[in-house]
Amino acid sequence: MNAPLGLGSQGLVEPASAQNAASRRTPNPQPALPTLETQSTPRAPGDGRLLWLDANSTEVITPGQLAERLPRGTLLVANDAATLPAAFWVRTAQGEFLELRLTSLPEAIPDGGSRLRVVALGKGSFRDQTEARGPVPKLRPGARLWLCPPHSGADESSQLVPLAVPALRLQQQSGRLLTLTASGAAPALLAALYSYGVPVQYSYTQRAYRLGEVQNAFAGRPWAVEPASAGRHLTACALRSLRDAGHEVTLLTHAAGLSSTGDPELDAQLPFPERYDVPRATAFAVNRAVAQGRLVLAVGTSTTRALESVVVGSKRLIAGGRPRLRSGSGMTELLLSESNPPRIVSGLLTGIHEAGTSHRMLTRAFASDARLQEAWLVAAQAGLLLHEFGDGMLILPGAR
Amino acid sequence: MSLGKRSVLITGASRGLGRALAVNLASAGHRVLLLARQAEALEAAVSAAKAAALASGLGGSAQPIVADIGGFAPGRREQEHFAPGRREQERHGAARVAGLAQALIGPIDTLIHNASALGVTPLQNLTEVSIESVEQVYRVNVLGPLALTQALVGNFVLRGRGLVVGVSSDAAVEAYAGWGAYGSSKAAFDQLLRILAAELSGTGVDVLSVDPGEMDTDMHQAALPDADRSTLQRPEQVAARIAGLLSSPLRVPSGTRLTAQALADLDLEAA
Repeated sequence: MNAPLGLGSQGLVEPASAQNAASRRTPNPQPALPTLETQSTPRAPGDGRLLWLDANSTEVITPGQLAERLPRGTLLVANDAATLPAAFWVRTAQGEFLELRLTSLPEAIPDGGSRLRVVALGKGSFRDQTEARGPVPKLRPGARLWLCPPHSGADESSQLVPLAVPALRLQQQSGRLLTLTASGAAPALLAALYSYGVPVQYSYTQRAYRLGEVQNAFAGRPWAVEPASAGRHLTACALRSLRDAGHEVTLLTHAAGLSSTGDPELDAQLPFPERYDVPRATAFAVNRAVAQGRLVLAVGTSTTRALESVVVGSKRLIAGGRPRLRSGSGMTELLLSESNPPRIVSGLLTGIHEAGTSHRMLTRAFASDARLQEAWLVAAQAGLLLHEFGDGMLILPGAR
Repeated sequence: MSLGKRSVLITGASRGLGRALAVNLASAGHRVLLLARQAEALEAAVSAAKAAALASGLGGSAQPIVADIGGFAPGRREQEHFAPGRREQERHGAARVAGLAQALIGPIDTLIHNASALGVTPLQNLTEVSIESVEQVYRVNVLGPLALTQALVGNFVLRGRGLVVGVSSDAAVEAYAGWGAYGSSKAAFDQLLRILAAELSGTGVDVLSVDPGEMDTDMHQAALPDADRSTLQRPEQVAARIAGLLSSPLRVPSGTRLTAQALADLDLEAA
């Protein structure tokens, strides 16, 4: 049964309590929001469906219908960051195994070698809740760690392979957050990470992911620690169709970071600073689209944050007061929300997430709570799927 | 872009034509990644390419990626679930190579599929050849390159530029007894590249197939041990002609299969 449009918040539970609706009674008993299933196994790019929200409608479409449905001359901006095999195992001098998760690509340091900033997790595997993983030992500064093949965490003998992998040394530890250095040339470390690393994944997933499964069809430089998953809805064919229909598709690269560390104190600091690179051609295309009143549609929250991070400040607005982008690369910690809304991005293609998540904070900058609740009902009716490998949501102007 | 520095990934780059291409392109100032299965032979090729880059002073570079193309396409016995020890199968898959390549030198714009498997030698007629050995030839010559192309070409399309080159053979066109596995695999890959070119028409991504003709390489020796090597082309000569294709705007339409003669003619024209 379809929830009639315009139902608004009448008869619906407040978003913040949606998650607990099943487990407690509210003073005024109201129907709980329906649940949506999670798509925890990666599907092929383009296989999902999209929930379309604009001024007039809330409906389900396929990615193939985007080219014809989007307003004429829409500019899409996509994050082409590939997903790193950012999770890898090391052995300590005491013979303990730790899983380390990169917070970003290792960076070369001036005297040769590389620096890695990682979150450490103890005994267990991705099948365990991150918070429930074993403790991380306090290591001595200068302590050595040895990269090893993937280790399930079970009591089995180490499978160290005598490859020439660089030694890792601890520089600094703050609880689960470690800064390590690796000696030797950066390429050797990268090759070792690509030999032994696996994609970061969480306990709701059913099986180990292969690196190829967690990439977008147009992925390029491996900057992302977790998949920039809104891009999964665009295949190479889709890029082609969009351009053939007169839309523009441009790119940037943004280092989408870890979404969870298992340590509430660390989690409160997320997102860590994330690197971005907005090319000149993209900044030019966005500025031109804005000047011509065309829709600027960001593919993913990572894209949105990167674009908004290079908006030129108010003192430097051109005559007419329109915000502009300036191309460039740097680090961003920008958080967008209803109270700090985007200034350039006017539409968003993203995933479907529950109320009460940090993701919802950004989507509320694009759509009202009422529309998002209504969208949720339509999504449930259509059997849309949640999370990074699920279906998507397209929020266009007018949904606010 | 075609006049500027390219970022090139060459498979089968430790010997023969692949190595010669790597040396030539590094010397011409391009950033080159050499991919091959055996680390030692690869290191030697990388050293040669680096030395050439240094000598020319044009800013070229060379780095190794150790991987087995034959392992890129999923096998019949592919494990869905991770098990320790099974990691070998996936360790150097196409996505890993594409990711490592771009971690090393940034966005790739040129992919040269040069690595080839000949099959079991001495070469066997189709009436006798083992199907398993034919399957392996197809993995290395067709399926693996397709997987690697898929892992890279989406970014080419997004960026609106790129070149995919396949190294072919006249065994793909002529009917030589004993060359059934290799010849048919090269014919399959030629057609695959032609169709890819059609699919990518208008995207700014070009696709070419090049038949280099007979060269004095280990592969040739393995196939035809009694050949008179003095009649064979030097791989360095052929590499220079192919590299010449890359250093100018493409002078042939995307989807062209260049025969050895056509390649030589183009080279003469450019001179």
